[in-house]
Amino acid sequence: MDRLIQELPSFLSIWNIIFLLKAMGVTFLLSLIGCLVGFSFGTLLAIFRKTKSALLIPLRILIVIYTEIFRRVPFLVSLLLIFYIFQIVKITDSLFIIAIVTVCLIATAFISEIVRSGLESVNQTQWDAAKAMNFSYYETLKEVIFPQAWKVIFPPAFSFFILFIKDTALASQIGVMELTFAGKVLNNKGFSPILVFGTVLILYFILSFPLDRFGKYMERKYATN
Amino acid sequence: MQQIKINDINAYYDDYHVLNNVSLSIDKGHIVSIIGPSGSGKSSLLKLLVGLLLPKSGTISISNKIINYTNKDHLNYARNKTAIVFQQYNLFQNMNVLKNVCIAPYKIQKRKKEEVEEQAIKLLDKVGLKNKLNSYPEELSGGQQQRLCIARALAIRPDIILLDEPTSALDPIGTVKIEDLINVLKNDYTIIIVTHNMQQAARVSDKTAFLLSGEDRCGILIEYDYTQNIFSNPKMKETEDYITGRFS
Repeated sequence: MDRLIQELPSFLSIWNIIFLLKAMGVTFLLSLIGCLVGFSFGTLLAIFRKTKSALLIPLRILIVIYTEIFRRVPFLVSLLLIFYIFQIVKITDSLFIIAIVTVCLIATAFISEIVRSGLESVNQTQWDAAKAMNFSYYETLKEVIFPQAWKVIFPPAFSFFILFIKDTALASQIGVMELTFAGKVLNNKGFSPILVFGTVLILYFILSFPLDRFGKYMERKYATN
Repeated sequence: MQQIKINDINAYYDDYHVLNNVSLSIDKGHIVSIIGPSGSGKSSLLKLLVGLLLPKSGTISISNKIINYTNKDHLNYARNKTAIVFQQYNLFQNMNVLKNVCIAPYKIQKRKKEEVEEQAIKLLDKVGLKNKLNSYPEELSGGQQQRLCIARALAIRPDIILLDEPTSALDPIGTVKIEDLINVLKNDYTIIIVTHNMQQAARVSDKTAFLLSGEDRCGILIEYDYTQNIFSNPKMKETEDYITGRFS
């Protein structure tokens, strides 16, 4: 305890604070972009997967293969795979972009499955009623199905997002200077691991707590009926 | 004048043959009951008319127009002419009473919102739900939900109303209210009612069709005649057995 108190002033130096905030920003960006892209594309994939059109059968098969693979492969394996693919095809050397691509691929696969199960939770009779009243597929989704599916989609989606913020720590494995990696750096510089990772823990909490509250707000707002 | 003509229709659910060469003509302004045991294809016949089930062969004409259910314009035509009231109500659970009635005329038929709301309130008054405008379907009784379904069907200004077992889940009072409503509607609409309740068929319909599962379990039309003839002087033995309860 005495050591922690002694280290505290030097640990809280401007340089360290900026270093940690920058790393927190990287974690925030990885999570935010992953969540936004994952939610948008995941929802689109779920919508395509629910269509009955024969023309879209090849697309539906591709979507199933993609979601089943990326949901089953560990985050780290996907990250390393994308990392080495990028090394071979030489699209970019930016580790941050490689990490972004990986988190987007993984988030899209998971959210697609969450949205699909949400859409399927709405009774078939609701689809039939809308169809009989001449609603198009997209009008049915917008007016009837999604408003009823949100209450099923939001709880697992926001739980996933919160887990996802923590999973972005694995980006440190390819050298992305995110929050956990910054903690390791400070620990290696001699600061107490309890002080360093205790601070990292608080910063992760600061990142995920508003998302958790936002998730609860969305559940209340859209899960009325 | 013929409003609906169903000619040699065959329909399938995947490989299951549900209707076999069914032909039926319904005059404008008539109420027709479709009776028959479970699985004889009664509800499927209604689904065919609104394009929820596609015919494999045969033709359906609505107001003298042969409907090609794979053609979008034809499908729009059929669904604007025909409104279905489902057995399980199928009300939109995320919408209140007023929105359930307004949504299709406003969003799909692109009519003016004020005009649609005014019409909806009149219809809800007609079915006794004017004081429930802001209630959600789950807050209504079975009878109220069924009347809301009818109001929702009427809102799209159809010529034909299809009622799929409209009173099967209702108590006698709810049943009487729906039958009273059907009697009010019969002046303005052609109505087809699928029902297991033969007294109801006898009370409300001009003509009655009797469907039965054939040897290969698909529905066939056994007899179609004026209701009085069906119940007092059926031509077919199967019809007589069914309405007298000797059917097995």
